[in-house]
Amino acid sequence: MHVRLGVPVAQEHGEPAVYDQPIHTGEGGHDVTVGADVNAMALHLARNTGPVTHLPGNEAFVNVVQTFRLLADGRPATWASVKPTDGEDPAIAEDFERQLASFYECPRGIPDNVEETHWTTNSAPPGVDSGQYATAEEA
Amino acid sequence: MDLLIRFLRFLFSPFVPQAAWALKMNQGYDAEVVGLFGDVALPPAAGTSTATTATSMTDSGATFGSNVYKWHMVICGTAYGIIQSHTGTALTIDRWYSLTSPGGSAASTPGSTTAYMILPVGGPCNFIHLTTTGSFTPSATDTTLSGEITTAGGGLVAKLATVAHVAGTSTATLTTVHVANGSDSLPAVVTGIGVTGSLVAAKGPLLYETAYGSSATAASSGDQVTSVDTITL
Repeated sequence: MHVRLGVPVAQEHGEPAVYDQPIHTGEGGHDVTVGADVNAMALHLARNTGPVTHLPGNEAFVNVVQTFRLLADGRPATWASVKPTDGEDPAIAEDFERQLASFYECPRGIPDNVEETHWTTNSAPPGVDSGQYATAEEA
Repeated sequence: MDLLIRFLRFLFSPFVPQAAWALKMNQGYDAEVVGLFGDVALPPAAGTSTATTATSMTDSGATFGSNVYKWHMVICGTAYGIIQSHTGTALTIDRWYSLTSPGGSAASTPGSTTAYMILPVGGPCNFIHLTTTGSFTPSATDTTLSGEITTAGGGLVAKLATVAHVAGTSTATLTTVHVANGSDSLPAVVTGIGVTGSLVAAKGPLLYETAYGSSATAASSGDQVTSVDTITL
C-alpha cells in the first residue's frame, strides 16, 4: 500500500509537503489489523515510551507513526491517504487510512489543491505540478 | 479517556527512535556508486541460462569476466538475485527474490534454460538486520554484521524495510518493526542494525551500520523492536 501524509511544515523549506511511504503488507512485510482500536494503540504507545512495543499485528501502524514523528518534527499529519497497490486487498488500505486519520485527527484523502499548497514528489514546490496528482481521486 | 489519549499522543511524543544516523561502510560507497550511476560501460549481459540453482545461474556461453557485476541485480524469468561474485560463465547470488514480494520466502529457482538480464545498476539496499553484539560499534571496514540474529523461523531476522521521504527534503528513512515470536531466543538484547542489499545473513552489500542509542530488549513473543535509520541523501 502507498501511504501519503500531509506534513504541516517541513523544516528544510518551511512549507507543507507530502510524506511518501510505500509499505509491503504481504509475506515478510508489515502487518495491518483491520478494525484495530486506534485509541487502544495510542494509549499503549503512550504508556510504552521505551524502545519496545507490543502491538502484534499492527507493525505498519507503529512503523508509520514512529517514522512520521521523526520526519515531521513531532507534528501531527494534516491529512492521511492510503492507496492499495496492485494485488493488495483494498480493505487493508481503506482501514489503515482510517487508523491514521483517527490517530492524527485529520481528514482522509489527498486534498484537491495539494499541488498548489504542498511540496510534492519530484521536488515540485507549491504551485508546480509534479504530474503525480491529476486529481485527488486518481492519486 | 479520549481527552487523555489526545493529550498523550502529541504532547509527550511517546516514541523513542531506535537507530539514528547511519555510518556508511566502505563497501557501501561502492554499492552506492553502482546503485546511483550504474555500470553502463560494461558489456551487455543478457541471454539464456544453461543451468540454475537456488544460489546460482550459469550461462555456459557467456563472457561475464570476473566479479565486474558484483552487487548488480540479475533478473531471470520472474525472479531476481543480487550477484555476490561470478566467473566468466557463472553467477553466485544471495537467493532468488520474487518481484512482488522481495521480503517474503525465496522465489522458486528459475528453470535451467530461462532468459536473463544483468541490470547495469545494483539492487535496492532496503533490508535491515539486527545484531545483539554487546557494545556494538559500527566500523567502516565491516563487510558483514557481527552478531546478527539468524534464528530460523524467528521474527527478529532480517526484514524488508519501508522507505519514507518528505518531498523537497534531503533525508530519507529506512524503518522496520521486527516482531519476536516463539522461535526466537528470548530475551534478545538488540544493540544495532545493518542495512544491506540482501535478505540473507552475511550477504552483501553491507551499506550502513548503526548502533542503537540504548539497547532494546525483546522479552516475549509479540514484542516489537522498531528501527528507524535516517539517511542524508
